[in-house]
Amino acid sequence: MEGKRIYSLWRLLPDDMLADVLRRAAPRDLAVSRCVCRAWRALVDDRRLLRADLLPLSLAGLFIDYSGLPYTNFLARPSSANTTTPYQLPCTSVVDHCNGLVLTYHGVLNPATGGWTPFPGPPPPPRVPGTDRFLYDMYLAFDPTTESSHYEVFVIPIIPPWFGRRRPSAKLNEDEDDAEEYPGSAEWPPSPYRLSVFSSRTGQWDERKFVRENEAAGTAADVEEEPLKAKRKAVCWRGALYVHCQMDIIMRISLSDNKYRVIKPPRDLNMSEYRALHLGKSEKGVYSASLEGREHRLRVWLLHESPQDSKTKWILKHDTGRGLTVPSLNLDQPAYHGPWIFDGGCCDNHGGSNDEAQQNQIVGWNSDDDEALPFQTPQVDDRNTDTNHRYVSIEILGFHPFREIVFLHRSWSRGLAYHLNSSRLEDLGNVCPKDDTLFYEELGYIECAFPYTPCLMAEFSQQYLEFSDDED
Amino acid sequence: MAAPESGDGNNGAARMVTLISSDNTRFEVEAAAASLSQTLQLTILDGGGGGGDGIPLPNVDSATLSKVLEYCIKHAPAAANGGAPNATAVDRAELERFDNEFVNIDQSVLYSLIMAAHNLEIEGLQSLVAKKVADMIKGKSPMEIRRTLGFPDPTPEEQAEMNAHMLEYGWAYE
Repeated sequence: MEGKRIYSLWRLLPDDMLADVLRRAAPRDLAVSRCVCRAWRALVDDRRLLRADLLPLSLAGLFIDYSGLPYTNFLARPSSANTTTPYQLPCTSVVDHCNGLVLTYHGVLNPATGGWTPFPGPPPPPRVPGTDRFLYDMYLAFDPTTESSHYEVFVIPIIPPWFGRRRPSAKLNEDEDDAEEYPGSAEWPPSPYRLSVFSSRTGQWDERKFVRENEAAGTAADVEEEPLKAKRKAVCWRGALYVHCQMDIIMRISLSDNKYRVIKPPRDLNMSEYRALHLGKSEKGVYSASLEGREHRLRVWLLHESPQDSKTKWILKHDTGRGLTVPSLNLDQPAYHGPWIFDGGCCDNHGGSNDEAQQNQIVGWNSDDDEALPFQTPQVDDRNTDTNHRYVSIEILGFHPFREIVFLHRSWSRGLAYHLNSSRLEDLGNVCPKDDTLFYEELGYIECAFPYTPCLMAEFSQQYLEFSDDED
Repeated sequence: MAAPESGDGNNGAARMVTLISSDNTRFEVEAAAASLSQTLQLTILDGGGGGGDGIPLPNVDSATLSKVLEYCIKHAPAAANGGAPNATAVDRAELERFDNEFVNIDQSVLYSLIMAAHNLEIEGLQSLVAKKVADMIKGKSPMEIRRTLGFPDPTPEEQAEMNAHMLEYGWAYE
């Protein structure tokens, strides 16, 4: 074996040259290299090659995007919110978040460093022939632990509700009427799938073709009648981007070899009952969750991928059975005693509730050490109605990226953390941006939320503040 | 592509220098290519290595030196242009293809190259080879890295130590 013959050589490699090699390794590989032998560990440690402190390994809070508000709010964990949030929040809506970077329609921002790269222009229209009038979603792929400090933005076409029908607007323009639309009987997603991708390496929107490795989810016509749902999520995990697409399939896009796979939704999902499938990353990998029926039955699945043939299977991880036991909270009272703290965006202090009373209420909700701390156990009430016996809605906000915890909100006003391992439900406090009548009259709603894991890596062309000034 | 040195005296033809490997083999090469080595550049600027003289390289054997010069000759035109600015996308793609194939070699040659590139201070080559070795450990477990690089299997004591340290950065083993 080749390795045996040259054994003595690599062990003779002078420290400077070994350091030169390891300096080019990803943080994940550096962490592993520390365990190869004592000499390597000493080298990595002595030269501080591994900067785990820069990596997105802790949860700082949640970005919450409300309908009707032009900016994104930040709900912080108490330990990181003792002072004003040190993060540069975007002045516009957050479209996606991935490992510490935030995607907006104008560019990519690192809230922890203020680094900002604007897009050279809007993303080009969908590249698949016949889909130029389709809508699209954008997703961010960034994994500084296993890959480089570069990131990519994927534009995924959405089949619009009017697909397959003659659009009234088409009659106004003969040319458009003649334009050939994507055939309803054709496979969806197509293969090759031509997608617009922005790469931080090139600073450009480019077209890339992705070849499907397994069968299609169906035809374009199968998604025809599906109403537009809330923004679907994507997850970056082990060199792939998992994008929640229409028909509740997950597209697993390989970030290295221009291939993709279609992953069907959990088979035991009752399509008639559930409201929305929620995709997320948590402790053991890629998860999905659904809340079903008026009883709010919460089910959580973990995606298992066979290392041999990449076949995938959803494993039911948690099932609340008849429904979530929901805390009784008086929604008519401004909820100012939750442990989490609101912080507004960059534009002004619209977060509102950073008053002294709340600052003094800080108690330890510490996601990284939650076993050690007493829970604020809310009173139990399973009526799912508030004090005025109105129906109470519960929706999923997101997954804790490192613990098996699902964040929920109740009627857009209270944040809840559901611990899968103990089935305990915890009150996070107010998630309503201020005691805004818009929200108490239930006119506003939460469009999407992203668990935020700050990262001090990634390469950016400018600072966000400079960009903001330019715009003014 | 004329090398910058070709102007002083040797009109038209590129200036040549001779390098002598540790096993006394003589290599005649364009000064522009040899000058990719920071170590050789000064000597060459001072007029060394020309005529009957050669520059002795006691730390580099002939097999390694011929490989090093293959790299230098390929990269010299782009380096003379000051790197990327004038290079077309095709030129860059061709260099990338060459680089990928160039390091697709036996580990012992790779080891000799990393030593020679460091010795001769050829920045591009140092980085190319170091990146290749870093790629060899990418995505592997500590045990797989040891086997890839031909380390002996750990003693039970070393194994216990490896296991203990693997707990320190649990996220790396997800």
